[in-house]
Amino acid sequence: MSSINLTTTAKADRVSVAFAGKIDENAKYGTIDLGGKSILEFDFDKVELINSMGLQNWVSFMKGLPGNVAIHFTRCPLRIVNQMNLFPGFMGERKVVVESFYAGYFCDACDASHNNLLTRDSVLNAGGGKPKAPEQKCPKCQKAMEFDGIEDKYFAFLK
Amino acid sequence: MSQASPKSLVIWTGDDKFATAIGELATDAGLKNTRHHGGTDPAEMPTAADGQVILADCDLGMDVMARLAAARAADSLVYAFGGSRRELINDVFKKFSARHILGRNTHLLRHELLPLVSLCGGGTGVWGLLSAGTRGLHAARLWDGSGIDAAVEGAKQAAAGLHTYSEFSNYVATCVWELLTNAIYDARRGTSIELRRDSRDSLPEEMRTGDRLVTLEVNADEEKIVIRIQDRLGRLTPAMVLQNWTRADARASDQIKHDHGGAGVGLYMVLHECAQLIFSVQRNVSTEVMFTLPVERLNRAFLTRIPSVHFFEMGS
Repeated sequence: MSSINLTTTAKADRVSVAFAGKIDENAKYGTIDLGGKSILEFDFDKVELINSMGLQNWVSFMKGLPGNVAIHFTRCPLRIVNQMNLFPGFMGERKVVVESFYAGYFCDACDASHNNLLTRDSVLNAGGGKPKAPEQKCPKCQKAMEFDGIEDKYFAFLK
Repeated sequence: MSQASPKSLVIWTGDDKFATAIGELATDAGLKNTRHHGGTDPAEMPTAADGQVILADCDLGMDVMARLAAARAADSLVYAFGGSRRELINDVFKKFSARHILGRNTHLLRHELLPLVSLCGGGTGVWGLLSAGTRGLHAARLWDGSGIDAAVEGAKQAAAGLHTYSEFSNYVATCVWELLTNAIYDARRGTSIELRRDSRDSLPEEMRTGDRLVTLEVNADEEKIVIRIQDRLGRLTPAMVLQNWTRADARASDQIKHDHGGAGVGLYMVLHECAQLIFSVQRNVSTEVMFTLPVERLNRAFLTRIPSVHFFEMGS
């Protein structure tokens, strides 16, 4: 039994595949029907864990995808961003558009951590083309939160 | 039977602030320590007499470190290193056959000195020092791969209960998974660290022998979470660790190939997701792998820390 579930949805310009579960040695991705679309979107929002064997299976899967399809990643949790930065091979040696991803923020006033969803555009716009954490407000007190990471390293996958 | 006196720690650095911080923590830990004020000429280098362990600051220069490494036994040297996690492997662990590397962090934590206390005491009892005063949060006993998921989930839940950042529990889960897998599958295979992918089923009861047992312990106090994975084989060597780290490092720079097992990458992932990684091998008896993560409010505080790595060997 696969440790990850795939939910495939056809959208106007793309096929979206939402993952839920673990990217481990038991993850099976099967064959994805592109239905003539030219963009394949992978939504990582519900990925709970990724380990070394899963990483290698994932790379094989990515390399097996048709070369003429544009791959977009969306809603990447921190653990996926960390893998992209640590192992560039996570992208399957091809150009991947990372549309959106989570980043850690901390509200000093509330002493609370938050993982906020950022878009590629919002991060690049905040730095005038260079990756920079955009300002985020605490959902509780509305005060500005601090980015809980190292910008140069965390946004390295956007370069 | 007489018991040998603990060795004293000789701190060799040109950085007064760093020397003071190390000295205070060492004294608090009950470790006799002195500062070496000699220059970098061979005649002025510390001698590492039998009753001493030298903590040498890599900022003194890598050529000085090379001379020290050539002249002293590996288990009498600790390198204080301020580079990145990747450099840690290539520049220190590999180049000098280092066994003990202390992350040269601006703010040193009390538990970072405990492996040095153990080293000065003869290399025994690292877990006893690290776990003293902590409370047990989770424990598991495994004979095969069937219990890994539950054990990892237990460790993750225990970590999630601590007052820290959200990614903390994911770091713990990744490290526990990789190290348990390594202990259950790879250590048994002997020389190469490769994940056997064929069996996640429970072993028959009669095959659950003592030498197959792998244990997991998750403890914590206000300062840190400390986790130990222990097998009853005692086969891990520094060369095996290094081989897998450097292989994974090469792949991280280039690409991940699918022609090797998982734990080469796994140990590399562990190095990047913990603050202190300690191997303690009693040859042909047991391998303990311990790691710590400071309980802090900000992930950034962890990300800016240079990890420490220690490899204790007995009976080799």
